Amino acid sequence: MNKSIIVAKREFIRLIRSKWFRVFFLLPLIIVALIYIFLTFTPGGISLFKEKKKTIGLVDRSTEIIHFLKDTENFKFVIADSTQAFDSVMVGSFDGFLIIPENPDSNSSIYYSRTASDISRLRNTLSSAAFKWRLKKRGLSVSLAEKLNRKVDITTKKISEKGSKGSGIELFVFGMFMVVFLYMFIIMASQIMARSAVEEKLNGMIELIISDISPTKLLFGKFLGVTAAVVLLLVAWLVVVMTFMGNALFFINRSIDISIPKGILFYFIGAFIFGYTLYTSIILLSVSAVNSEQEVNNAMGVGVLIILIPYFLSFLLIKDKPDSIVSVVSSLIPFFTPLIMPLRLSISTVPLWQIIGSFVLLFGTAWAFLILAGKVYRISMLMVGEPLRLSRIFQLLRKK
Amino acid sequence: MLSIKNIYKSYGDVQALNGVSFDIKKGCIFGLLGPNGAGKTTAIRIILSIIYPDKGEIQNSFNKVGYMPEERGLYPDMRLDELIRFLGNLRGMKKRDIEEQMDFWLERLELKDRKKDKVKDLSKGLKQRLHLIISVLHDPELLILDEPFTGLDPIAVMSLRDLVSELKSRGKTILLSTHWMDQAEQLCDSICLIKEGKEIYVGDLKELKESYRKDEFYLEVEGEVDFDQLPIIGEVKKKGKGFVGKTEKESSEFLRILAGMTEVIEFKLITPSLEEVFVQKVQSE
Repeated sequence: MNKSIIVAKREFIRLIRSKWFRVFFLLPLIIVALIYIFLTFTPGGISLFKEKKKTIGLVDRSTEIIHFLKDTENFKFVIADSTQAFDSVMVGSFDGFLIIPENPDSNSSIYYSRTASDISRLRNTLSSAAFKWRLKKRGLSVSLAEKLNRKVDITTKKISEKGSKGSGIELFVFGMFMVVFLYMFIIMASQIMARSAVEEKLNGMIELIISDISPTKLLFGKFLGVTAAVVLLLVAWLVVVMTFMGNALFFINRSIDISIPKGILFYFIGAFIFGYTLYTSIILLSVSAVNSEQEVNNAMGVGVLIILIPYFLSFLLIKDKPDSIVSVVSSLIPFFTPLIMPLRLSISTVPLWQIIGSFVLLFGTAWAFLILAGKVYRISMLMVGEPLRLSRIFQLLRKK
Repeated sequence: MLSIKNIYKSYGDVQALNGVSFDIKKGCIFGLLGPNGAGKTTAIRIILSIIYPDKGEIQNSFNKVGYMPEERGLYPDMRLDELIRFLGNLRGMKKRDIEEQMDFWLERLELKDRKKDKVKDLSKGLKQRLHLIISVLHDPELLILDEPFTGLDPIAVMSLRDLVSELKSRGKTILLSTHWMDQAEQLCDSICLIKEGKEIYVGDLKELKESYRKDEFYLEVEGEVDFDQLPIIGEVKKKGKGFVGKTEKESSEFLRILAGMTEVIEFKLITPSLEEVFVQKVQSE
């Protein structure tokens, strides 16, 4: 068996056996199971997603509006006595109590309730009833007005030189999801990777294992093992999110059709792979000189800082102005590309040269950093015992 | 045979090895001796191709090499059997061979009952034994032991020494790197003394010691003895319960004369310890 695969297997098993992994892996699955049980076997499950119809006590002093105030899917109106308004709400006979004044146009209707969460819907329902009353008062046709008063829907489509493509909103959601997902993945995986990479140096195993496997193969094996473990963890969480969203959509009778253009999907996957490689290499470079657990924590901070900059740029600047100079320039800088370019692609039409240019720059930089990190790692691993500086390692690199 | 010829290696401004040469013959125990920082570990790393020399040549006819490093860390959370299998796999061993060798060595070094224990639960001495199992697991022709006695109690030292002798009797070649001259003296056939990256002596251990012998004796007798009646050169000095002196006669002849004069409790020729030889060598260099 390939030596890197042997190391990857050990690394994977070590990680999935660790306490933190068990907690983070089992937690989402337990959440899924609980959601499923709750929705399937408890009567309150479905009502969690379907809103309860509210019973509203109604006093119409105008005696006019009541004819137009029909029950809706949210409200059931029951004629009541105004003297019991307070008590009936308090004892739970009604969810709310609505008093319409003698002159409906006086804007002095009063609504008593324990919560005001549905006031907006109730206002719309009441306004609609008052509108119909006014129409009738002027001798106009209510049914004709209802037919004419239909909402106009707008479907968003992104356009480019090749014509229209996918829904902008769906892509925007996907882009933001991609940024958050990539950020989570990179932060988690690169930190585990950094600790894993210096494990043998810190526990003194390096001298033994290095006679059986080259540092480069060892590092590659660790890279594979850590990536596999983190992917497994994220898949578990993805299942939770999908299950939760799926259930929510099912119960509110809606569906989302996310169709991502193949080109963008390809870029996303590429950015994901090379972004992960680049950031992990940066973190590896920053931890190569460490000699203790404490130094690992300090060194990782530097690497994480580089990843944090594009993450905040994405939310603060790029989201609203995807074609500004800051957005264009930052999306072409390889260290920022993996987070910023996917977001720009999802909310704007990016020129082809920028897409290809950013991808080539990202690929080249990721490859160069991976080679550099491998070399620095190889040298630094055997320099046990003396306080190390990156400058000293680079000096040895030049000498080699 | 392993042949090291004129090896140079520097780390920045530090010259770790400065033209070191030696040969290790098959079936012998070869001592690479010197104080801490002499360049022993650097030489071993070069032999194992972990690092490369700046200059020099290495010829190695040993197919398989086992290594017990000075820095003896292990994966603390792995079980003994898992760790052995992992390293066996890395060395390209077949599954069946790994299991056979593992069971044999765990039994031989009295670790069989701890097979399923985690490495972190072993004492320092037991970890040392585990290291030894790992280094011989793949049945190497050349076994390199870098400072194997460091941190061990006297019983563990004795046990390890016996094991090294046993491995030699099985035909293994052993490169023993240590600054413990007394242990090397008991085990090694030939040695290379190095200091600050320079070799001071390479060759047979007995020959080296013989060349530093001064015909001195230690003697313990019952009652009094008149030293003027004995063929003694120079002054006799009191040492502990006995005396130290130098004779012009052969030791057997001297002892015969002595036995005619008094009851001899102990008589031995004093040969310098390897440590003393090393100090004298360094001073003369």
